[in-house]
Formats: sequence, structure tokens, C-alpha cells
Amino acid sequence: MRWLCALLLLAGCRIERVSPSAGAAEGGDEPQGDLWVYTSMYRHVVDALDPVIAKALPKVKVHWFQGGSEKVMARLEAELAAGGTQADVVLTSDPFFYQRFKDEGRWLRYVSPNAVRVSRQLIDPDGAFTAVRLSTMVMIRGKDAAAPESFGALREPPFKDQVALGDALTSGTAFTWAVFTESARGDPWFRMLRLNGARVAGGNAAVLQKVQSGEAKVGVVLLENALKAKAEGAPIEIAWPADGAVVIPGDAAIFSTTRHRRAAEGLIDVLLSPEGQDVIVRLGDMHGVDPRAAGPRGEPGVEGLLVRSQPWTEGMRESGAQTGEQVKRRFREAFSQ
Amino acid sequence: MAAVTLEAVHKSYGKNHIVRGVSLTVADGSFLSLLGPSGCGKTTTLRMIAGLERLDSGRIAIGGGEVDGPAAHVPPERRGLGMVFQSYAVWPHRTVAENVAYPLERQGLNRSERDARIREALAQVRLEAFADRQPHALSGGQLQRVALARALVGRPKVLLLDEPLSNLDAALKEELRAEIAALRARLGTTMIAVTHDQAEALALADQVAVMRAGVLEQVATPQALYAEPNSPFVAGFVGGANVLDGEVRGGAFVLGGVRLELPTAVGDGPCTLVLRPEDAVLEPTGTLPLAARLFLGATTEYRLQLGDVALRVLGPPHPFAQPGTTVGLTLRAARVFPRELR
Amino acid sequence: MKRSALTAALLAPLVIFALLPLAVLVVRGLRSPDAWGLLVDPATFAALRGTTITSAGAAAIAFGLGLPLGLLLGRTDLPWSRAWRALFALPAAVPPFIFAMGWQLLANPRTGLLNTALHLHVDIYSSTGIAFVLGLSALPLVLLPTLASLEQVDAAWEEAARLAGAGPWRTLRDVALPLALPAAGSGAALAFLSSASAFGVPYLLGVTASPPIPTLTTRIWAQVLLGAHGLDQAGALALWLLGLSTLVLALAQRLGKRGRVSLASGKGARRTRLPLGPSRVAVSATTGLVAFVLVVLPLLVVVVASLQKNFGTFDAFTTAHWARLSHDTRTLGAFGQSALLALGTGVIVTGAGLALAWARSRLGQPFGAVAWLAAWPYAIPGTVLALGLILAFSLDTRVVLFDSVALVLALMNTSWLLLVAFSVRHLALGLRAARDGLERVDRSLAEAARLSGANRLRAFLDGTLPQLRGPLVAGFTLAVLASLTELTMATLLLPPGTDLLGTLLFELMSYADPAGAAVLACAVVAVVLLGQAAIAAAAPRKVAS
Repeated sequence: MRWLCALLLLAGCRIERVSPSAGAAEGGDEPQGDLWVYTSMYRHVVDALDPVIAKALPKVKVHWFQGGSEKVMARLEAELAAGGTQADVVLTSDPFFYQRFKDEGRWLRYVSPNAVRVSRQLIDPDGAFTAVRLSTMVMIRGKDAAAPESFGALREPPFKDQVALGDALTSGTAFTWAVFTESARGDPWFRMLRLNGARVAGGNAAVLQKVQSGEAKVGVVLLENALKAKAEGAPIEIAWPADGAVVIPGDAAIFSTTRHRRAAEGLIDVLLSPEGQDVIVRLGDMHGVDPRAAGPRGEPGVEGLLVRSQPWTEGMRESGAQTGEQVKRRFREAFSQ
Repeated sequence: MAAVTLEAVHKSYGKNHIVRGVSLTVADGSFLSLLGPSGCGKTTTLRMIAGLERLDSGRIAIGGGEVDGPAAHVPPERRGLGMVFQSYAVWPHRTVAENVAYPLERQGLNRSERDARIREALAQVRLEAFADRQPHALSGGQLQRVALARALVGRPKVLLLDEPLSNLDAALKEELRAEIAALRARLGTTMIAVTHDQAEALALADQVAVMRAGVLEQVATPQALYAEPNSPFVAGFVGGANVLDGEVRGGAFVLGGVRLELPTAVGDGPCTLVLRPEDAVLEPTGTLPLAARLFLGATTEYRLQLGDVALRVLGPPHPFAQPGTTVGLTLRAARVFPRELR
Repeated sequence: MKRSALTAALLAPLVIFALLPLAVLVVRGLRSPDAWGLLVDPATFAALRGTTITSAGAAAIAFGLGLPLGLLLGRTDLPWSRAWRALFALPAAVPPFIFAMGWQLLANPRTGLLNTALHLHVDIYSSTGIAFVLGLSALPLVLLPTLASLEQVDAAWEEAARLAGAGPWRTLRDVALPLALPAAGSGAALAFLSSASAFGVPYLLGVTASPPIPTLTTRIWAQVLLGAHGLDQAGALALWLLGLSTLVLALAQRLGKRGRVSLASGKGARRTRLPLGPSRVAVSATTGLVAFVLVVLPLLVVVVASLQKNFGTFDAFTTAHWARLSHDTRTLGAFGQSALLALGTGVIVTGAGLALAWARSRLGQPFGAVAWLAAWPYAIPGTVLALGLILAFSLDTRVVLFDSVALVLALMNTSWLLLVAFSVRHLALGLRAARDGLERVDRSLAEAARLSGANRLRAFLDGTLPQLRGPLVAGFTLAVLASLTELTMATLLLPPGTDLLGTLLFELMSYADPAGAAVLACAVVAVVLLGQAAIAAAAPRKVAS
């Protein structure tokens, strides 16, 4: 019995031999080693990126942990609380999270040479993180519904009881949207939405489903979800708000604890390269950050997008990261009434 | 075959003393019945012999070797016993033959030996035709015999029986009682049975041990127990004697204003009278009210009223003794004990 | 083996894998800033209230449906009882949020089919709606154990009642009902726990309610997402769920103490079924209707919706979703992985549950507390448990030998951690099943084996274990089905390069492809049904049963 236990324990163990060739940090200039990447990019995008990465970084083996931005963050928090994470690179869409980790001094500074064309507002001034893709919060409407002109119109009588919103408490993109729209309109914004009968749904998929099925006439969702649904024949139309769409940068950052700095930097270079950007735009249905790349599904490219959206002003990330809890509380209280 | 010896065996659960210093010897090849009312500790004693309960102090030896005591505790599977449980404990997931085969499997017998032994054991209990039946298709008496065959098939040194007949109807009881007696005569196995039924104990056993509140009251042959009970409790429990608390005054037993002349001389004083129903004779004249008369076939039972105590008497069908009349009573034999402290 | 060694061997895995992650979470939680203020925050109380109401409602629905169904399927001559059994066990295999999707399509206040076509006025976005969906999902937790417990009942008990002048319904009520109550009651307690720890359904339905219905699980997740101290504070909030679960279990135990009887004692039980007589047709029709409305209809709506070009409307049919999914090789791989993991979980959960239940009945303390301990991981959200496991096991344990070889016990990013997570989570199911079973088996069956020459273990295996088949199979089935499509823990703990049904489902849901999720869920259901049919066909039919 005791021997059986010991055997089981041994079976669960990995045996490592310490030798000069293995485990040590990379030598020479060529990026190599095992790279752990935590990302919220969709699986099929990741799958398509793999060969591109393999071609550019033949000696790097990338391990992906793939989940929603919120799950990735939760897992990182837990791992760090336990004493450290194995993640080298994080690629999610949660701008305030990157800011917070920057404030905690967790990121390595790196600006890719491939980022030379990228708009400055998409790169951290200190080089702690760089956007590699852009998601955008826009409005959608059912085919037979009136088009709202702006996010502000959602609190107006024509859209009474017709609006579906993402839950700012549990959906990162809905939260970013809430931070932007509230900062433009002030404290009563959420309450006005609530008084106008806006309904909260879970995440973007839930909002989209509510509009598709006619449960709601208008919704606020990610452009990529709307584009894909529309391409598959859903009876919806995209409505760009006159007061500016909300762009959510999908940042890339490297943990300062990485043992494979060169590989991590190489990965970000690949993501910002024309090949990487192409995969992101074509398969992810989102905008790239390279102005040379076209937009997803015939949309204009990143420059056209930035014109149509609210700018990420200096300090927006800081205030969002610091006051996020209050924004969430106001959101919760407004909709609990 | 082996003798079983218990020495000052003690067992308690918390503050509850179940068995208090029982010492007992069961001779090799003999049949002992543990008799007593429920809760007297007889089943616990049997389970300690089996090894299913550990004793607190004392020792138990089987065939000369100590199986339980300060020096050793032999687990039940290595005591070489067979046991028939009150609930039969016939495994519902095994056929009759598979049930009986089990002890042989544990002994590691090979298949052909096993089959022969199973056939033999089933033949002993006359269940050859039922070998492949599922237990739930059997009657209570048949299950009982399966349990018996399973207990015997491993040729145990001692066979333990826990209330073996209590769940059966009267006819089956008779039948199995005869069967067990025959088996015993044939196999000569030492047997220990627990029962609360005195008729069962008297009919089967060489020795009967009467237990009460964790203590052995008397150990004797059935005949001796019947003839010479050493306490009113034994007398009352074995043979169903009348046990009456009263007083001896001038050679007569006095209770509730009624005097019964004793056949033998006894000194005056408070006492307990033990009177077997068949040891008294009804007389046509007397002052005792006859409350009831029950025809039992071979005899007739009469219920007399002694003050507010009822007295049972057996006798032939007297024409004079009709309920509602009064009769007299003559004692042919009776035992008088000093009054028990209760 | 010595008693103390045995105790240690049995408790060690439980303490390491179940208690440690929870303890880490709770201790960190209580030490986090403002933990106490958060615990008694009005918003927390609102969430506590929401959880209590919806979970109690769900438990009541599961109990109210499961017990009568159990009596009907287990003790009467209702035709096609095997088919009904499989059908009503289905919700265990379908992730609750799939049902929630179905009910959303059926009963949302604006466009729900029940509201538009039948002109009913039902609103699934309500406490009642959440309790309803959770209760239906938890139905197998009550039904399967009830059926298992009734299997051992001798028909003579019911015949005696019939002869005493009771009609069939009266007999069910007076004889079978009291016998089924303990199992159904502890099933209802588990239904409460599983509902209290559910995230998907209260999230999908509760957030949209007006005003939203907060529950502890949604509040905990929102707290995690605050980042920084959020994770720790979430651990503190989980205390409410642990407390609630302990309370519910204590209550269930009090109620369950009555009416425990030893049934399997080796006297043999005949199994005949109570004839329903002339009401047989009406009862069959009612059962069919109930099964259709509660189980088939919501799934059917999801399937039909998945055949639409546009999920949620019913205008143009397409099989594109199906075709897309069936071409995906990942789906197939995920099926295999999930099945393996689920079966492993089932075996571990059943084995560990049996060992602990046995220790509880034979060794006494400290195993009395095991029932609570095992219930805790089941009562907190999967996300929280997964985070606790990450906290406890994300660092490797390293033993260096001869300065050159290191034995590294690395659970993180291996399938083993998933196995641990699933097993710890569903241990309560295995333990409960084993306890229900053991309490009903007379110990003379094992004692007879010992007297026949079997040692303690052997006697248990040969004398007792075979009598536990029904309850153990029920527990095994529940654990396997629940693990098959588990997605909250799977998404957090999935090792790289692995696919599971749960993570695929989650991905499809979040990638705005609910139709794909629906298709996959239906495929799972189909496989489960086929599996059940195969098992039923392979199982030898007992004589006269």
C-alpha cells in the first residue's frame, strides 16, 4: 500500500536533469526557448498565428493559455498571489489591467521596431505595452429598428425599453465602454439609461443574441461580433455612433520576470508584422494597428477607425484603473433600482 | 472440532455494561444454548466468540488456543468458525451455490473439490435442487438452510447460530429444529446457539446457559435446568413456571389472603414460590376463583386468581372446573426461594 | 494497516486537494483590506438573499419533481420506465446554461415563444425563472438517488399495505415515500448546493432581470474582476457560500435522520411493481407531457434555433452550423479528452466517496466532519475553486536528488490538475451516494463473509459492495455527466494544447456563436443517450426483477 502510494507520486512527477543545455537562459542572438503566452484571442486566430510565428521564430515553442480577458486576468492574479506566473507575454483586451500592472512595475519595457508606424496613442509612452489589435464597441440594431445616432441617443424616448447593454461588472469591454461614456456625460448617465428601460445582458454574445432574436432593438457590442454575425446572415445593421465609437486596444506586454526576453520580443515583432496583422484582421474580424492594413471585412483601416472613435487621452488609463471600482459601483446601483 | 472456553469475559459500550464476567466452557462436540430475554447480552457473547466484537477484559479460547484476550486477537476469518445470522445474511447478488461456495473460495480449494463439497453441503440441508436459484426467489426456511449450508461447508471447528429459528413459522421451526439435531448427530460439530425461546434451547442443547443482564444465571443440562432451577428467574424463564412473591406461615404459602399448603416443610418468612403449572392439581372445592379455561389438546390450561395475581395450572379436562366457579388447589411439588431483592 | 495510518491515508488527499485550496482562499480573503466591511455590505446581503431564494426554489423544484417521479418510475408499472429514466437524467449531462438558452428563447417577456404563440405571461428573467431552470438542471440529483434507494425495497412492504386496505396511491404515499425520503432529501440538499454555486444560469438570466437579481456567485466574479485585492476579497465572499452550505447540510441531516432503515439484510427482496390499474394511461400521458415540456422542449428549441441562419429567430433553415462543427477535428479530440477525464473523475469520486463513507461508518471521528468538507468544493463557484487550486498548486514542488536530478511534482498545466479539480468538486456526489447506500446495507452481510474466512477488506468487497451497486452507479453517473461538459474550471485550468467539450462550448458561446454551442450541446446529449442505451443493452437483466 505504501509502495503503491510512492509509485503513484513518482508517476505524477516530472524528472529533470540539470545540464548546461537545458533550462538556462538563451545564449546568442537567436530567440529560442519555451514561451508562455496568455491571451484572449480566439482559438482560430491563435491557430492561424502559429505557423507565422514558427516561420519567424523557428526555435521558439509557444504555449498558449487561451480564455476571455477576464479569465486570463483572474488566473494571472491567482498565480502571482501564489508566488509567480510562468507567463512571459500577455495579449488581452483590458487596457486598465495593463495600466495597473504597469503601475505595479510588472512589465518589461519594449517598443518593437515594427511599431514605428503605429499611432502614438496606441503605445504606452514608457513602452510598457503596445496595442497589436483593436476591438471597437459600436451599436447594432435590428433591420426594422430605427438607427440611433449616438450612444447618447440610447437614453432618448425613441429607444425606450429597446436597448441591451453588456454588464460592466463582469464584461471587460462593457466596462471600458461604461468608463468612456460616463466620463463624457457625467454621473447620471447610467441612471438615465436605466430609466429609459435599458436591459443589461451578460457579455457581447448575450447582447448580440438579444438583438438578433428581437428581444432588444438596439445593442452595444464589439464590432468583430457584429461583423461576423452580419456576414453569416443575421438581420442586423451596424450603427456607428456620432459621439465616437469606443476603441479597446488589445495590448501586448512582456512580464519583467521572463526568462526568454528575446523570444518574447520576437513574438511581439511578429504580431506587429504585416503577416501577423493580416491574420488578426482577416480571422479576428478586428482592426490591426498598422495603418497599411485594411480594416476587417471591408471596413476602413485603423486611421479611419480612430477618426470615428473617442480618443484615448493621456490619463484615461490611469483614471480608469484607479476609479474603476467606483464606476462599477455606480453602474450596479443605477441598475439595481 | 474444538472446545470453547470463556473466562471472565467483559464487554461494555460506554457506561453500558453488556456482558459482565461470563465464564463458560463448551465441551468439544457439545451443543450449548445461550438463553435469555432480549438485551441480556447473549448475542454480544456469541459475537465475541465469533470475533465480531472485541472483549474489554477476560479471554476466549477455541480448541485450546486463545483467540481473544490480553495476549491475542484472532480476527474472525482465522478462527475457523461457521455462523448462521439471525437475518440469514444470504448475499443477494450470489446464487445459492455461489453463497455456499464462498467459504471454500476463501480456503483456496480448487474447483472440483469445491463442487463436491457444495453438493454435499446442499444435500445436507436438502437444497440440491436450488443450487442455481437467486436468493430472492427462496422462502424464509430455504434461505435459512442456505445460511446453514454456507456455515457448515467450510467444516468449521464450531458452529454459531444466532436466533436460528426465530424468523420461521411454527411448522418450519419444528422441521429445522429436527434438521439441526440430525446434522449435529451426524457431524459432531461443537455448536453454540443464541435463543430467547426456551423450547428451542431445551430441545436442541446438551447444555443451556441462562443469561440475565450480562451475567450467567445457571449453566446446566436441559433436564437439570428444568428440574433444579437455581433461581426464580431461571425457573420462570425455563418451563414457564409461576413465580409468586408471598410469605411462608406455618408450612403454607400465603398470598392475597389465600393459603396454599406446601408439600415440603419450609421455615417461616417472606419468600418467592416457584410453581410449575403441571405440579398443581385442581380440586372441586375451594375458594380460588377460576378466571379462564383454555383447551390445549393434550392438556387444559386453567387460570386461577390469587388476589390480584394470576396462576397457571395444567391438568386434565375437569368437568367441575368451569370459568366463574371457585376451585381448590393441591401442590404436588414446589420450590421456595428466599425473597429476591428487586 | 494501523488505524492512524489508515486515517491519515484517507484524509491526506482530502486535506491537500480540497481543504488546502479553500483554506488559502479564505485566509487570504480574511486578511485582505476591508474584508469584513465587504462581508456585511448591503450589496453582499442582496446577493445572499438572491442566492438563498433562487437556490431554495431550485431545491424545492428538484425535490417536488424528483420525488414523485422517482416513486412513479421506481415502484409502479409505468411503461417505458427505462426510457423515462434516461430522459429525466439528461439535464445532468447538459450544461445548465444550454437549458437557460432554451428557456430564454421560450419565455423571455418580449419575444419568447410561450409568450407570443401561447399568449402566456411568463418572464424567465426573474428569481422564479432562475430557480426553475436551476431546479430542472438539478432534477437528476434528486431523481437518480431516489430510484437507487427504492431498488432495495421488498415488494412485500407494499403488498402488506395493499392488503391493509390502501389503494395504490395511498400505498405509494405510506410505504414507498417514507423509504425514498432520505435519499430525496439529501439530493435536494445537493441541488441547493449546486444551484448556489452555479454561475451561468443566474448570470444569463439574473443580469437581465429588471432590476437585476444579484447572487453570490455573480458578485464574487465581479469582485475577482476588480483586480488587485479583488481576488482576495472574493475569497472572503465565498465564506458566505461555505456557511450557507454547512447550514443546509445540517438541516438535511436533521431531517434525514428520521426514516433511515436497513433494507438489504440478506433476506432477499422480491421486486414487483405496483400496478397503476386504470390510471396507467393517464399517468403515462402526464409523465410524457412533463418530460416533453421540461426536458425536450427547451433542448428542441435550442436545436431548432441552431438550424436557423440567425440564432434566435425562426425563419430560414440551414445546416451550416452542424456541418461546420462536424468537420472540426478539434471537436472529436475534445470528445475523447472530456470522456476520459469525466470517466476518471467518476472513478475517483466513487472510490474516494466509498472509502470516506466506509471510514465514517466504521472509524467514526474524525470522519464525521468529512461530509461537510466534501460539500464545500461543491458549494462554491467553480471559478473560485479553480482559482484556489491555482493559488495552492501553481508552484512546482521540487525534490532534488544527488544534486543533479530533480523530481518535480508539477500539477499546473497538466491534465492531472483538471482531474483533481473535477474530482474535488464532485466528491460530494460520490460521498453522498456511498453513504446513502452503506446506511441501508445490514452489516451481517460483511460479517458473514468474515466468518467465511474473508479479511476485513475482502468481506467489504464481497459482502457489502455488491449491495451498493445502485447508489454507486447513480453517483458515478452524476459525477461523469457533470464533468463531461464542465466549463468554468476547465477554462481556467486547461493545459495548453488540450481541448475539452466545456472549453469548446465556452469558446463558441463567447465567440458569438451560440448556435455552435447549441449544436455541440446537442451532440453531447446524443452521445450520452447512446451511451445510456448501450449500457442498458449490455447490462444483464436480473431474473425476476
